[in-house]
Amino acid sequence: MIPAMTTRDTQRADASGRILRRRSTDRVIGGVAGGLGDYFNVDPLLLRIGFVGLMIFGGAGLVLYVVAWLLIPVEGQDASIVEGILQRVGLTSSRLAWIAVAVLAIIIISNLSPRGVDLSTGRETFFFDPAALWAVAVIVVGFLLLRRRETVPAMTVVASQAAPLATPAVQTPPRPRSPLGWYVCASLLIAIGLLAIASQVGNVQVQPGQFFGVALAVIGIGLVVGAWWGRARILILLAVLLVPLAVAASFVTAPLVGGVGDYRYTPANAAELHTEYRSLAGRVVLDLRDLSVTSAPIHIAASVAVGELRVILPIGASVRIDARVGAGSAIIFNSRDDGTSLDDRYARQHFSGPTFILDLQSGIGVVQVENDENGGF
Amino acid sequence: MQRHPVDLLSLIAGALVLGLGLLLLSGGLRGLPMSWAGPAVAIGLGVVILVAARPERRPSEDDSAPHDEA
Repeated sequence: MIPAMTTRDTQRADASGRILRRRSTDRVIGGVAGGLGDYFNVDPLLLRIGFVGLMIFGGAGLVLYVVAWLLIPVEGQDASIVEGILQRVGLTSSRLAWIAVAVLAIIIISNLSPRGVDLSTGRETFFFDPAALWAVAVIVVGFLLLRRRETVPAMTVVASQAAPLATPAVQTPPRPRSPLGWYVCASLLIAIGLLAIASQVGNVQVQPGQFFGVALAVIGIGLVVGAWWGRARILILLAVLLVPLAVAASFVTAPLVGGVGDYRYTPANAAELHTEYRSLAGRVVLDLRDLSVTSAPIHIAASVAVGELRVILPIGASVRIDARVGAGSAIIFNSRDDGTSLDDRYARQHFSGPTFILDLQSGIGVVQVENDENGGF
Repeated sequence: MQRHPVDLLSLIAGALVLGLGLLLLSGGLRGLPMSWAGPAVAIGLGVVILVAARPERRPSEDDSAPHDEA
């Protein structure tokens, strides 16, 4: 469908003659997905699925939809709902954007703590804070985007004044929709399914990050193909949404088994003691202080894919600990290690008391081993 | 699907996403020092913004003129 163009639309339309407008007809709710589909030349159904998916996972889809509904003008209108309100109170969108960038810059800069004490000299000095890089990047990107936004329409207006008798802009028909986005989505699902089957048939351990890796690789191939054949720039948005999840998932190396929630185990004898304690997400406390002493070494494997794993040992116990954390912290008695891909080993031998051999894992979170419990849940 | 002039934004974004996907698939991300992640993301994002913000070449009259098929 071809959106109706207003006076300002002719200045804002891109080279292909398309403008971003919400649909006034042939829409489901506010015409946001339809309008975006017309603009990006993708099937609105794909966008609707995306919005619904994001609504289910965290509710971001609802926020995005409402924001788009407020910021994108409807067909035949010059201004969006927000622009209309701002014009009524005398604020242009450009001025508001400048204010937003300035406020953001102030917030970021005020949160920086570049001062510190130089240990070699003992004097207070400035250190480079990595957050400063992000602050500068945000400010520069905001500045560039604003400059670009302000200069392009001005040039268009000058050009239109210089040629008042120029023929009016001719609407070019929208390009036929490319099926590339659908092909990529289908290939993505097939690839993930095949990988899951291969992991079961071949008995190969496939980590969650590798599933995301396959998904991103397929999207990347789709984008590279779309550079020459068909178009599917919407895949960039999909990739941007997936990347943080993929990076986080790549650190989840603990087994994806067990329940979700907080669990506390206090075995008192060998019958109550399990060799494995697994949790998918949450907090697991394994309190071994009441365990009756046995002469044989006690092997325990425990893991939390995302969350905290805490083991409390009886005082005087001998231990051999292998603690692995994808991203987070490993706290073994008084030793704390933070970071990614942690693999800490610890051994302590006493001549009396039980011996525990612990294999502890957390994908993203904390593994903690201690003698005395300070609190609990 | 129709062939069109090269879309640099799709090409570069695709190459970056493909590279990250292959890295994740090989499990190589866990071995990388995370102190490099911030700068790498900043550079990648910067390249994509540079490509996205470049002025697009508008079709000139020469381009739109019908070609002789002689």
